[in-house]
Amino acid sequence: MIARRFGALAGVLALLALGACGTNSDSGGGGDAVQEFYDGKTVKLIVATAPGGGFDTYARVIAKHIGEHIPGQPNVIVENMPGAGHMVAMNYMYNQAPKDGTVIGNATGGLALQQLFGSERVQFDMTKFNYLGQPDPAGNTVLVVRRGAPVKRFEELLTPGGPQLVVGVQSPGSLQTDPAVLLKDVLGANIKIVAGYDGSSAIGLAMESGEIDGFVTSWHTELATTRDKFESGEWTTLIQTDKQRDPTIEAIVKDVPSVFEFTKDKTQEDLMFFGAGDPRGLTRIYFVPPNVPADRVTALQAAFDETMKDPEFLADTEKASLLIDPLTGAQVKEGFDSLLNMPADVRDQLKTLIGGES
Amino acid sequence: MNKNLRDLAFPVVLLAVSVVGFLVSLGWGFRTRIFPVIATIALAVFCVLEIVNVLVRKARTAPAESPTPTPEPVPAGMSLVEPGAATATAAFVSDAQHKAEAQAEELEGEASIDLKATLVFGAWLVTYALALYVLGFLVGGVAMTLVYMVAGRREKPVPSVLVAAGVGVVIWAMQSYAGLQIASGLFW
Amino acid sequence: MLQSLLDGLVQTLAWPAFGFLLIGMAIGFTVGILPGLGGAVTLALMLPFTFDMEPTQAFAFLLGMLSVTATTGDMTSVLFGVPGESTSAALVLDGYALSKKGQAGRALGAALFASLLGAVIGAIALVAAIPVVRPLVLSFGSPEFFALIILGLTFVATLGRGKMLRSLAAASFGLLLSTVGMDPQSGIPRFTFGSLQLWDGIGLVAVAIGLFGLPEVIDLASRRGSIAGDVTSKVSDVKEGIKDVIRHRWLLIRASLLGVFIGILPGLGSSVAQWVAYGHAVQTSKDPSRFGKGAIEGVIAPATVNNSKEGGGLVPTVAFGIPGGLTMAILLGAFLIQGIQPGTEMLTTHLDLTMSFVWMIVISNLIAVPLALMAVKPIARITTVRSSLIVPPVLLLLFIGAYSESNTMFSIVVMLAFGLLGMAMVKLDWPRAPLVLGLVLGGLAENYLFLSVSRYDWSWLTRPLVLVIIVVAVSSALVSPVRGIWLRRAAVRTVTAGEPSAKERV
Repeated sequence: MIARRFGALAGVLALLALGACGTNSDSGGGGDAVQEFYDGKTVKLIVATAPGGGFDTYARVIAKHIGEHIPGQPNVIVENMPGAGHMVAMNYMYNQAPKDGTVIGNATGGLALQQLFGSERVQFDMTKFNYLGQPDPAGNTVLVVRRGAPVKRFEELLTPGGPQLVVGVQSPGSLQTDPAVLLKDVLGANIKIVAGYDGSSAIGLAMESGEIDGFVTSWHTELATTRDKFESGEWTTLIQTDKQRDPTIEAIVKDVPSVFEFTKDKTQEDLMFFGAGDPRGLTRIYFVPPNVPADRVTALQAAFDETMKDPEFLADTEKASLLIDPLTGAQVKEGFDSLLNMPADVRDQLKTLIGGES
Repeated sequence: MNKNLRDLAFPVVLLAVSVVGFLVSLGWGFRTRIFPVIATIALAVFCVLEIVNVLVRKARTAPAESPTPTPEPVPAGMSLVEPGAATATAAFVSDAQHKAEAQAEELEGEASIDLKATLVFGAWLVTYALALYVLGFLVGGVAMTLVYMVAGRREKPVPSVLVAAGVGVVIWAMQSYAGLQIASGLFW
Repeated sequence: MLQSLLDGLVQTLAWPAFGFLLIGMAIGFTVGILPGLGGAVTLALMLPFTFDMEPTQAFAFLLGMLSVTATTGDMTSVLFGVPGESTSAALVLDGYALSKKGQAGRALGAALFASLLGAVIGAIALVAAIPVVRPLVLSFGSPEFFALIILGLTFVATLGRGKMLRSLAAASFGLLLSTVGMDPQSGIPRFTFGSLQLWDGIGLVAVAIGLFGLPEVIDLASRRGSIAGDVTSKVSDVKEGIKDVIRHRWLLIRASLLGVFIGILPGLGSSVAQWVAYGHAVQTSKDPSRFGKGAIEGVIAPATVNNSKEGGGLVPTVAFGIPGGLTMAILLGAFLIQGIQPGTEMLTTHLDLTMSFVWMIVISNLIAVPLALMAVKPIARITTVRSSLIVPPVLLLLFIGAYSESNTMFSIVVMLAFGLLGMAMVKLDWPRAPLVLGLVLGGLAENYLFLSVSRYDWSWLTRPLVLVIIVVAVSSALVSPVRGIWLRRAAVRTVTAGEPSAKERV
């Protein structure tokens, strides 16, 4: 037992030191040319955040396993490139990264909105990247409230003269902010937005001390980290952004309506969908630059898909409490295509509501 | 005299910075500019006060002919000078203390401005940084270490090479084992 | 409670866990000595290794690493004048000054011993505070944090060691610098001059290394001697340093408690504590003028606080799942990996696990510090080595440290720029500490101010805790100038009486 534990540690260290690739010779598709190309090479996975934190953890676990599934079994290492809310990494991936398939990027797709709203700092085009996929599903965003909040059902926020909910959000443009703004400005909910909390821990503290009544988050994140709070009733959720009511929510909190049960016309639907729905859930995408040779792109996509099914990979993600329910590269691309081609009037309205000042 | 000019340069520069900062801030919305405005105004105020302070002190030091105390500095923290609080005794103390400080500085050689040496070293630093950028940390670091030690004929070849090699090993180890990310240069 | 305390101890000393503690300590020791490779980054990198471990083993590994980096990070500050982490910058001021006087051994001895005691006292305070922790933390909302930040800013006056106007100007400049970057309220970039790199603000690590480390290295390079200068190569005694700590035991205790307090309150950031402790040491000293020239209290206070705040930081992490700082945020990741839900059970049903964490911190310090103390004498000899051998490696460490903040050359540019500024400030006798304090606190102050106003309009000014803190802040701000005037009168009296007064402690 002791030996096994030390062995595990020593084994991983040795792996690192020797730069050895995986033990399986599972070559997962792609011809000899691809295999020859990757043989003996090192593939860099550029992560758009600093080390530590969920985003980086996903990347490191993927980096640990994906090499085995790429023909030629290259060595895969993680490189962090934080800055400007993932923009630095995105710009790099589009413009400077080598286009030979030796660099994979990992960032949030949330920047697509920046591109949509015409921000000058955007030097990329989300429709042109080659997408490998996303390990977790396009999340369902929910409004979480604490036990002492003055509101028990979302409808109460729509009745005139009804109670007001204080919702804490982070900085504009993030998934933890925009849905709240849209609930308020599109659906007309009586929400007071307190903006500027620096991260989820600041929001957590504000929830604990009662400074705020609620916040917006991805359901899957909460499921992994704060499930017991929902089970005990300390927290509950008032509304979700999926079009169909999510059964995993229903299992814990009964009868949580979807925003689309309150939208009154197509424009409102579009606003809620593009502003807070599925396309916003592309927050953990893996991709390579445009113009990477097609056979290598296919090989990488296949490698990604296979990694998502690899039992050893799944064992690791299980241990790290990382939800795996992947989207394929094609699905990711579809999401961005629809987002970046939304009707012009919806785009303009959205920009006014949540565009901030880009 | 020279010292007083130097003493003026810094607050004047900071004052300029505060003015520029203030003007730039005006172009933003209320919430965005309020903090920078507060900071720039505070900076400007304190800089002006400090400039006044220096000028006042300069005026008092010029004619003074006070006997110098022993090189042992009188409690040096007593440069607590506040505008409008300058009494004759305070001037005497601060003045004597200035002389003492100047002597102490020369004795310890700490604050002596060896401008040329500093400039040379500054240029060297920039070169070092460029080398790291172009050659990468591993090669650049080792190369610059060697250059530094051999160039000024500071060290004999053998210890120089050893130290440079040691540096190289440490960098390589940190990169391989500690997962440290270091730049690999423009060419490889 | 006592039972959990004992159970925790047993768990910590159990074999596999203990072994991991030692490995973690070894890694932490190496990493702490290298500037820039901070505890947080290493913790993050080591996290995947813990997947296969069981809870006590994983935490023994991580906490062993964490508590030791906090201790050894102080060593480069003292030895080379280069902050080992941004939390060790304050130690450069007096610690390196002592090295230059040939007293590196004493300074290291004091820093290490103070770290150890700080960790232990912090742990005790922690355990004692556990029953009241929940109500304590929960009574602090954005307004209270804002008041605390203001309190922190009033320390500016004390940090300046008497050059009041210059301190205030430097602090204002720091405040201005803190606004560089994206405005968190509206997402507008401020003072970024079109550079994406500046969106996240001016990096604290690069600033600390540049402002404090670079001038020292430049100074070292331009004198041909060694760090310890022309002073005899006899490295002064470690024991002297230890005795100093005992001599200043009340300062030590106060600093430890301060560290625990700051650590417990999430949302103050980890770089603040060292300056608050340093400022407190200055404020409570009989002769503030010694600071910056080798006052041993200037070593003891920050070193103590750096360790006790780690213990304090454990509390909100464990009790609420809310990390008390960057390192704690990563530790939280370890919680999730192990399937442990932080929360009230950690203080009740799983109290023994929490206690084992406390023991891990204490024990790793109990082992690491004596070992380090024994190694101090030879290590301190580095200060007698010729500068030409020291400068290149130290420079490289500076560059690597700055680089690892953002993994781009930009941070190196920042470091060089602040190095230039730092040099100017040293030569012109402008205190640098207030600048850093303004930089660190400015962002927090703005953030909490807006949150408070946004949430409560202006009624938050009348909240009881806020009022108390503001009163403390104002009175502490007045203390320094008043003391200054009083001390000056005393000095004038003795000067006119014809004898030098306060002896300069060598």
